[in-house]
Amino acid sequence: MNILLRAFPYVIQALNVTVYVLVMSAVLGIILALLYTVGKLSKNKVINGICGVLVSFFRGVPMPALLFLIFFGVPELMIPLGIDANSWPAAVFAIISFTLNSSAFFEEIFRSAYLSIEKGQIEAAHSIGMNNIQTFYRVILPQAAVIAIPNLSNMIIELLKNTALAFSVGVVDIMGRADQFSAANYGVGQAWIYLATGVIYWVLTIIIDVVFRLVNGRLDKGYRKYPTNKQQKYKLEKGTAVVAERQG
Amino acid sequence: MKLDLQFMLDSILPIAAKSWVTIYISLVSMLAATLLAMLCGFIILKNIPVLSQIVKVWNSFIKGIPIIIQLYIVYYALPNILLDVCTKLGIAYDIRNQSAVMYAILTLSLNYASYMTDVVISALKSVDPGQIEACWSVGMTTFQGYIKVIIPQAIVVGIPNVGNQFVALMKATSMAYFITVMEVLGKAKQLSAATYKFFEAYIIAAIVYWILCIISEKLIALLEKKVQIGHAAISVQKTV
Repeated sequence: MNILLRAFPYVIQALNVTVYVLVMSAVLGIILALLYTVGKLSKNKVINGICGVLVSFFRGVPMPALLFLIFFGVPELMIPLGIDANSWPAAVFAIISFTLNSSAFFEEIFRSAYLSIEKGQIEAAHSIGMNNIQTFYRVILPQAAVIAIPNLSNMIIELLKNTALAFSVGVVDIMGRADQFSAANYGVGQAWIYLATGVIYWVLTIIIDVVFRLVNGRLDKGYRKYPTNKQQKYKLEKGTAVVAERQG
Repeated sequence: MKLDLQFMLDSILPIAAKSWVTIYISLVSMLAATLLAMLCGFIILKNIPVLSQIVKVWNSFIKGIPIIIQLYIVYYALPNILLDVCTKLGIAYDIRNQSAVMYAILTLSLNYASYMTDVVISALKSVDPGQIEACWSVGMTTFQGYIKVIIPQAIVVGIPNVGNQFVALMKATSMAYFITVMEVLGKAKQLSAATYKFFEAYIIAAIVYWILCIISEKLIALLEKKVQIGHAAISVQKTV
């Protein structure tokens, strides 16, 4: 128990590394996922097929396997280009693999959100003279974002938990720090050290969850105009009943 | 960059053979997780005081921690706990004789039980609560109502989610490599460590996992179709 309390301050010093890896992979993953989404929605069969295979591959390969594949593979791929990737910090490889993995999942989220919007709305927007970009920003994005954000939040939590694997290629993040601490203690009370680390991750996931809930609460403001709560529905039903009575 | 194709060809079979370990761990964990999730789902849906709060906090805790940390906690803590318990009870227990596969299965079942709890709850909630009242009205007990009416419909709703969880679980089994389980990833590491051909071995491992995922996705899609056919038949019969 004593070791748990000593592990906390030691492990939490690497919080910035975990946050850095998480934010970098999330941002790059979202950018890549947008490209995938455009590719998978395009009518060009070649682009569509390539994006489909890439997404399927990165979804199908487990995180540790992908991490090792990138860690050992990228330096080899870089040799013909004349780049010495072996001197890169380990965090770069971790970020590359988390980006590739998360982008495949983000793609599914974005595509399903885009497809959930009725095609008639796009035609309606075109009919009043909006161009494609205006249609996307003013009609599709505000609605698709509300649908995508809860899934996005879950996926970013998954990503945070995946970043714990980065220690296996030598990134000293929270988990790597815990590994060092347990090695420095000659393996005494390892379970307690990892429990402390787990609690830090738990708190981080709760923070991400709360932040996304707040964002979602702001974004779906427009939807609150519609009668979603019971009282308003009741008022509406009552109103129509009154109208029906008068007509009857 | 030059890949050693001969090494890749030679290592396909030994690595692919270890997919049985992956399949074994995922099937057993999935079964245990589903059973546990049914229990947890029952506790939460029935809103049993104290127990339901404990289950909720436990699920949040489990979902908030990376699986790798859970594996380490179980792998390092459980043998000592078992040793203490066994010495107190006077049972002979050999701490050096450990089966890492058992720890992997235990951790993964506990972990996925909390995800499956959500699946179970959402599936059961998707069935209209009026139906159980209808069951009571025709003289069924609550148990009969659940077995004959509610659960068959909930399964149809739940199967796609169960499938997703199963694929995720199958991928999570690769983390068992960190606690010395010799599965696909472990075998790839072992083969490549002797020859320094890491890239080749991990390509094979990644492809093996990809194929496993595709196969299980296809099987689940088939199952989904099959279940839905039965469902469609029932609703047709109803309307006729």
